[in-house]
Amino acid sequence: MAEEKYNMRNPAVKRILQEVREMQNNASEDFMSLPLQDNIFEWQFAIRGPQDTEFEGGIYHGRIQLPPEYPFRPPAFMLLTPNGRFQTQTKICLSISQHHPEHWQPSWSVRTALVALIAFLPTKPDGALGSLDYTSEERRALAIKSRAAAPKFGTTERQQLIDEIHEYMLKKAPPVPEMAKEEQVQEDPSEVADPAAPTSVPVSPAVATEAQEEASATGRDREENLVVENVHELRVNANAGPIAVSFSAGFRVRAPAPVQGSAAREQPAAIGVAPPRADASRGLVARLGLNDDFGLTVLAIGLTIAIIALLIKKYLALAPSISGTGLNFCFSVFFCVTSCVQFLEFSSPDFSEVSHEMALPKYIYLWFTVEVLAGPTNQHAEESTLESSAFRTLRNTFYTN
Amino acid sequence: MNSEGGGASEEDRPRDDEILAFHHAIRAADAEKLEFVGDKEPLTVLAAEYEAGNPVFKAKVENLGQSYFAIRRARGDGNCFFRSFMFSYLEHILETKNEAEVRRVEKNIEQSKRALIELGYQEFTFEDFLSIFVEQLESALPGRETSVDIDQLVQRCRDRYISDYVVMFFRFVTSAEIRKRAEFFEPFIIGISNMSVQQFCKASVEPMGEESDHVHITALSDALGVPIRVVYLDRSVGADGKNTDVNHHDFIPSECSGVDIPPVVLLYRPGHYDILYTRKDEGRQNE
Repeated sequence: MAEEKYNMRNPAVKRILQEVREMQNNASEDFMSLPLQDNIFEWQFAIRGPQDTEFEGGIYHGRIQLPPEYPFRPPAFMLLTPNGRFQTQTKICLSISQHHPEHWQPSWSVRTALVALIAFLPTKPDGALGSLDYTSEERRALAIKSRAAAPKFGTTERQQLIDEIHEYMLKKAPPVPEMAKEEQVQEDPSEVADPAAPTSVPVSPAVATEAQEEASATGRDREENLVVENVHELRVNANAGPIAVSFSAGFRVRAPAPVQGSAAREQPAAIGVAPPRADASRGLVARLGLNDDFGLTVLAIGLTIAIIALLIKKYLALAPSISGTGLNFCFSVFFCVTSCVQFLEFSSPDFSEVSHEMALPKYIYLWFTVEVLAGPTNQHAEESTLESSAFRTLRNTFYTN
Repeated sequence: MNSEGGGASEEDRPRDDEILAFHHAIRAADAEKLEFVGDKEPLTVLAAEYEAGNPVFKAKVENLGQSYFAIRRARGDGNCFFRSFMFSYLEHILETKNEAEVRRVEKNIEQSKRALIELGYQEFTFEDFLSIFVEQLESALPGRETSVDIDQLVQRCRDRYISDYVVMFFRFVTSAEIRKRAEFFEPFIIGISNMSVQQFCKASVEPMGEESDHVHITALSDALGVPIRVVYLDRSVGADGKNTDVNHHDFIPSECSGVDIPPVVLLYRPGHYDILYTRKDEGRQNE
């Protein structure tokens, strides 16, 4: 904060700077508020909807104007996020009760006022000025919507502050699982009503967009709690069949080119999404550090088949009549690849649309997987490195296509 | 003292914000007429005020002249007790040059600060107010860079920033003392307001412009350890209906039990406080 810009003899400035410091030193999960860089009498804030109310999970932005006589005169609060309780861009009347007017007191602060504002959200408006009396459902819908994006307001500098606060609040305010689920049901009941086979790869465009929205809203941040949050969302969506895959599309947005380390951290989430069939592939997923939808799905299928191939190979190896290893191996790979492609094309009509441009990498990849699995186990470590680099190359090819 | 409410039914009662706005308007108009603290005037101005008024007042003002010789008015904006106390006490320090007294009061201030923190007040909400008052105390002592004379003291006490900040500090101190000794103050508070101690502090002590009462004076006097005399100019005439002696009440904190005449003497007329000067001080102050 540029303190030299202000007249420190102005007692309000001194007090406000102290409040800023206090706000930064004792950050709360329920709200965040900071002044604009060039005018400390103008603040932006966001509050979290209180728990166990229809506002839960909501992130409500607003602005605060501090009078020059602060703290002798009260700050003015205005909400910017539609919330169903207070009109936006209208000064909020915090002394709602007609019988016991709560005068503003200098012992209050922006912090206390924000706490009061949160407490006021679920109260009955009783016709107070600037109040709204939306239904619980409408408020809930607004609460969910409020997370998607911060409101657009004011100068670039202010907008930047709003966005920063939004990101901070998203980290601090995880959505309520029930609500997220309800949202799904409301927005696209057919998706959930049709529990598709877990192996199906299709990514419904509508859901994918939603997932991306969700992902971009969650920010590009890879902090620990964010990962937890992802697990949260994903677990919910894993119940909904095809959405499971689409939500890992969200992951792709978040981590377009994952570094090995961060990818490893996100794996638990990735595994959470994986359809049950992919269980067998967990070990490899972990070693590879995979976390994108396509790779995961293909891998799941590929490995399932590879295991079958392995069994066949073992079986063939036991049979003394055909003991030529080279021939044997080629046979099993061929068998495996063809059956896999057929399997994919049969199980998913959508897949064939994309399968042409992906055909080559897919074949190579399947081959590679099978070869590794079929190979001697003592080369494990070396192979996994090899394979992951090979996989990266493959994936890059795929994405650049 | 606060004759709010009255008999008006809920329907014709104006909205709170309307009342507040009206209140502010009256006070703003008042402010035009008088500084936070006025000039020192001879007591005869008071006699002139009641020339054509109530005979009891007239008689009492006359009697008042036996013990007191001058008056300094304070603005009637609901903070008059605190503003009067502020000026009167600082003037007392300026005249007595009593550094030990300042140190003693500063110790009490330190205790009030601790009490406030224990009561859950965040330090940043009151520290500015506190430091402004301590600054004024220090500059009332002689031989410092910041030392003031009486004219400068008057100027400072007329400065909105300084005056409001000190008043607010007194309000914090008063509130903390009342809440700290809630059991002691509770019966008095229930007697005048039907509020809990906490509510009373929030509604009638801490907000600027809320008028002061016996409870406030007791609390502030005890907290700072400064004796206060309040001289009552009202229409009461004693049991025989003829007594026009002026009553006064001395608020003496336990640590100051030996004090004869408190350093701060205020004149109370229903709803308002001004500063009084005792005859005893007359000689010295005229030097």
